[in-house]
Amino acid sequence: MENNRVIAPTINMKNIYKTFGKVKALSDVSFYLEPGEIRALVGENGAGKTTLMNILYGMYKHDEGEIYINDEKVPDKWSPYKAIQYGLGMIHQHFSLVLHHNVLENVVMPTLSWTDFKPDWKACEKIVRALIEEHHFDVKPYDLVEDLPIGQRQQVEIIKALYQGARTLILDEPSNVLSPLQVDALFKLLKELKEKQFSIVLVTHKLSEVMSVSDKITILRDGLHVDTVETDKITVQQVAKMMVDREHMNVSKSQRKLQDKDCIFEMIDVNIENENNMVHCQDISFILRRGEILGIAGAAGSGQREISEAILGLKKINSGDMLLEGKSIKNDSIYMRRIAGIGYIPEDRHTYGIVPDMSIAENIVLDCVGLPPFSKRGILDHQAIKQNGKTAIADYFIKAESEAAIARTLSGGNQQKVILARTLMGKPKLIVACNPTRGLDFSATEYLRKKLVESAMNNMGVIIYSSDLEEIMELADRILVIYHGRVMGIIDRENVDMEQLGMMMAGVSESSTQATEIQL
Amino acid sequence: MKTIPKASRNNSFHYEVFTSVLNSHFGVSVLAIILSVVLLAALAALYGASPIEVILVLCEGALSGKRAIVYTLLQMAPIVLCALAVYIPARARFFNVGGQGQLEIAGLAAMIVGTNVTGHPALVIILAMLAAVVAGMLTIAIPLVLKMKRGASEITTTIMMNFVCTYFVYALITGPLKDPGAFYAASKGVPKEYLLPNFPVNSQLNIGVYFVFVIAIIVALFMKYTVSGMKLKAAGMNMDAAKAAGISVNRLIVLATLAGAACAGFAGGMEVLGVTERIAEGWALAWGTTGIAVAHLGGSPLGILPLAFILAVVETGARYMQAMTGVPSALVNVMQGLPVVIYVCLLSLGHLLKMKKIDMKVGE
Repeated sequence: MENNRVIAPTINMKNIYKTFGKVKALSDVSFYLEPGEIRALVGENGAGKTTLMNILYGMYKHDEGEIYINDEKVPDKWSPYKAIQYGLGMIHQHFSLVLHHNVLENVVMPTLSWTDFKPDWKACEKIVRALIEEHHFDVKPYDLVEDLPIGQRQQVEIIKALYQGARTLILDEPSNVLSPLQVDALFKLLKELKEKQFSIVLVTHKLSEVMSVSDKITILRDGLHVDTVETDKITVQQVAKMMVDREHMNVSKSQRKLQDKDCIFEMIDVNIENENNMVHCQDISFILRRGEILGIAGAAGSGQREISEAILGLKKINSGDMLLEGKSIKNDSIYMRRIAGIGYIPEDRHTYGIVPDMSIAENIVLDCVGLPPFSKRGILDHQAIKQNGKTAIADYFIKAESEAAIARTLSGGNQQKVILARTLMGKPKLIVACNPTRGLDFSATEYLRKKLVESAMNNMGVIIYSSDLEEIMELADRILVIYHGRVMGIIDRENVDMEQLGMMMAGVSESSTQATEIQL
Repeated sequence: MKTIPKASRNNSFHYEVFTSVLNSHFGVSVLAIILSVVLLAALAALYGASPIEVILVLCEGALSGKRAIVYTLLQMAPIVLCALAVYIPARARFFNVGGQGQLEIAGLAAMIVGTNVTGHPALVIILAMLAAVVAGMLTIAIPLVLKMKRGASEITTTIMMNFVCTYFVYALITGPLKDPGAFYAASKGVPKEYLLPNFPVNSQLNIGVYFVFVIAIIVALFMKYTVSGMKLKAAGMNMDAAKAAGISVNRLIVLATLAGAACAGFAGGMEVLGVTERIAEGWALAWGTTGIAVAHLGGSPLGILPLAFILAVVETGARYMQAMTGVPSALVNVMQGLPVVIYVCLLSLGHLLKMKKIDMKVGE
């Protein structure tokens, strides 16, 4: 802080490995960062980009590999606290600010020790003011953080990192919460910091931004380092291809003729507003034929969850209409939609799927317990529920002691089978499956996918979204690509172009070759 | 060499029994009650009384002789109802800790009907009890609406309502509803013919007490055998999953909460028409608070009955204990809060041991 000349440290991460349980998050990834560089770290969800940066910042401990900062090997007990001392600063996707405190307090607080009963606020304020002045931040030391819009809160986080002496800034998905104007302001700031020899790592999956601001791009895919290239020497299409391309993407031909089937579900110009300013879904329209599987592709949080919840009735739509077999369902209750034939395999099975403390048999009839044969005139028929549970265990290969076993005691795969049994036993016309195989092992995943395809064969319509693009490629007949709550286009699986798909998912529109951001 | 494995097997057997007790709700509750009675006895030792004698005297005071048993049952009935007032809404994740307030207002309503309406005794009694039940439900309506419309924490609002209701009733019986002939704050008495009849006739056991058992059993059957009971269970255990399965959770919350308040209201009406005959200063003991403890310890409508009985025994035996041993009866109030604290401690202990066991297994 004493002089204006800052030299960011060189960072060298060598052959980093990291596994979470059985999942290989990173294998053999190396990362080299020079001072005064803006580096973009891109990849799909789960490619390992945030994990890599969390390791650098000391949040996670790597299994293998070495980290050097300024050619000095970092100590074994590496932690964010030490990383800060080495001049690193990380701004996470979710800010860590105390809302009821002002900017000054938020910035200074991390540097105080518990014995500082009376910090020298005047001196601190001077430094903070100098920082704000120097980098043209748009906040004042005595602004309350809760009154600040999200873009300025991000600035507070950056000031906080700079105040702690950070010379290398790591920003995790910084533009997710920002409006286009705020993004511009942020990038202008980053470029200025770069001029002053700060180095910056930008973790993102938005390619258009990457092209405009970065010097070099590092591409990760499935925990592997694909390439590090200079931004000038590559096109956005090439990067997109590297992000999503896979060797074993088995694009099998659909054997079903769908063109002559009638439409079972239709969404017409649906708008969904979100309370917390996250994603607004705008003008979502698509049709689904009988026997068709429609995959929704998009980065996590692009609106796929909102769309599925709107179909189920968990979320209200602000305008537009939804038709099931030609009848509008938008005013129907969740229960009426269930009875009308909408089955649901939720994304988070512990929250929206099962009741963990109830038995398997009870969980399976949860949505239809008020109907015969499971009850008559409001009185439960325990025998029928039990029998139904037994049948389900046999038919869906649920591994459990008996139908009276408590759902909590089952493995994730078997819990998912319970939900599947409940969904399919209701003989639905439309199944909405959200990340249906997340966290399942190989055999359970295969089983679930097989069942979904079987359902489509039996003339049901299936809507599926998944954070695993491969899954959508394997199952879907058509792919609806969304980005920031907007439909980018619908592609037939047969003639899918990975490059184009990757670009659409990253918000680069189909037609233009230039990187154009869809304005919100 | 031989003794070591034997001892360790013995140890692990005890350990198994201990953990299995800690894993069952009922086991933990009973253990908590036993421990708190032991603590009470130990505290009694501070007053120079013999701990064992104190426990024996407590039981004697509450259970020896018809009169004592009737008093214990009369004490137990409102505790059961107040526990149900907590238990039923709690199934839907609404924590009604305002049973006391609902009971107070309900008692007031029953008294007003009993002293002002004339007619066929059976009709007046039914009307008065109905008024009590409705008053209980109206009292909870305020926190309920605040919760459903504005998301206000029902724990705060119902606790505060307790004070509002209690002092509102007190204000009325010192002012507009005061019996002109009374020397202290008390309302007019309900005429003899409008009181709940006793059964057996010459005992002091009013028929309301029998109803309490019937209500508890009905609630138990409802939870086990009806569609609504199962939905209520699902909603309480995982509200989001219940919602996603098409269960109208909000309606269940409202109905369950009103049913709970109706129980507290019934208790208030029963007390006025069956026991106190009027509303006077301090007419209601802290049944509402005791009910919260019993509901948590009991865990089910039928589990509530024995726990309410034990606490009623302690309550009625207390005065006899004071007379016989010199240990102040206030000590019993200390003891009434203890089971819940011990219960929570034991539950956490159970979880801790379970986690340790999993760790050990992973370690192996």
